[in-house]
Amino acid sequence: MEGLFVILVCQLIGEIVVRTLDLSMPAPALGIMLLLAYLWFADWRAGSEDSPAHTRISGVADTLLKNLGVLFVPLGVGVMQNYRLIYDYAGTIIVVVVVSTIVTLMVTVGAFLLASRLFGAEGAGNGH
Amino acid sequence: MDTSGRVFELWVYLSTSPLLWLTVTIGAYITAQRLAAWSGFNPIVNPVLISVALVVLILTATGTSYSTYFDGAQFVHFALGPATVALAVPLYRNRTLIRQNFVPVIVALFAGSLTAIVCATGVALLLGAPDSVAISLAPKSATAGIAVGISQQLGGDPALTALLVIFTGVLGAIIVTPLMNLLRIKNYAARGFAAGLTSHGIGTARAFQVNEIAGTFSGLAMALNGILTSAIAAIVLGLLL
Repeated sequence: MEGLFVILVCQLIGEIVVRTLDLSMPAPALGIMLLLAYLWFADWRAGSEDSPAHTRISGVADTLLKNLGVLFVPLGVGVMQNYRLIYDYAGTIIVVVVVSTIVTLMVTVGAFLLASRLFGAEGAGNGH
Repeated sequence: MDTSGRVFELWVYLSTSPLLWLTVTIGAYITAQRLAAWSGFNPIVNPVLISVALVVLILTATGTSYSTYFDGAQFVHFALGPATVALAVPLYRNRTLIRQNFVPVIVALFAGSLTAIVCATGVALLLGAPDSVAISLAPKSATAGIAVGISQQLGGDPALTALLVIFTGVLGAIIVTPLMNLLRIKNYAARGFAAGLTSHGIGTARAFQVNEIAGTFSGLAMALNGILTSAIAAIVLGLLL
């Protein structure tokens, strides 16, 4: 329960800060950075790599992330019933999504490979 | 009262209760996951796409409205926010991996994130789409919890952005494997990073089906791109519009 509590608090603080300061950043993005800082602090204070606080949060986070796909389903269902939204620009939108998805995939993978070759990064592709 | 009357009464009660539609949502996803596994994780058999189709089919067949459905499904939907925040955990856990691959990760992050925003907005404007549509398209590679927020703040249509996020996620998850195989790219860190940057959570779920390293780098890319897109979308759009 404590792990979930910390995650929710990070999101809540993110929400409060974004609304109070009128930032152009969504609350969960700020929440990621707050949780990152919290994990760093928890491990630093415990003087270990896996402080109890860290382990509790990991458990909740892994459960949420392992089932990430299902979280998109309600939105996806709403989207299918809202198809009229794209009715006016359906052709344009389909072209944009297809082109930009392929181009983004290729540019990203190309940049990653080029940079690892130029700077001789180790561990890329063979992990841990 | 006769049996059919009782069944009908039970249906009237259940069909408007959150319990039924929450159960249907999770059941549809489990069914879709089984189908994906049964197909040998063929990219076309995308679990998100199939569960959405299953739910839409059931809603249509029973004449249930989206708002009734959402009363139940909102509990799943709500978890998108905390799940986005939870991305800090893999980011923190893989900090050594990030440090080892620091240059490729940063270069690919900036190149990919800028390409995603500029390409989507640019092509939309070239094809004559109005500004509001172009703005809604800009953050579509970021994860839903972030993209919808960006669109709202910059004057786009949040519902349209949600649609585009799902569309981009499913499309990327389906084409990433054949595209990378076609390009003969065998570096799974690079492949995964591209999947997560382009297609956020749906791409990451796909990457984990293929390879553990690909999945880890995909989750990393999704978290980093969510943060970067929220930081630069306003600036890039300011230059383009």
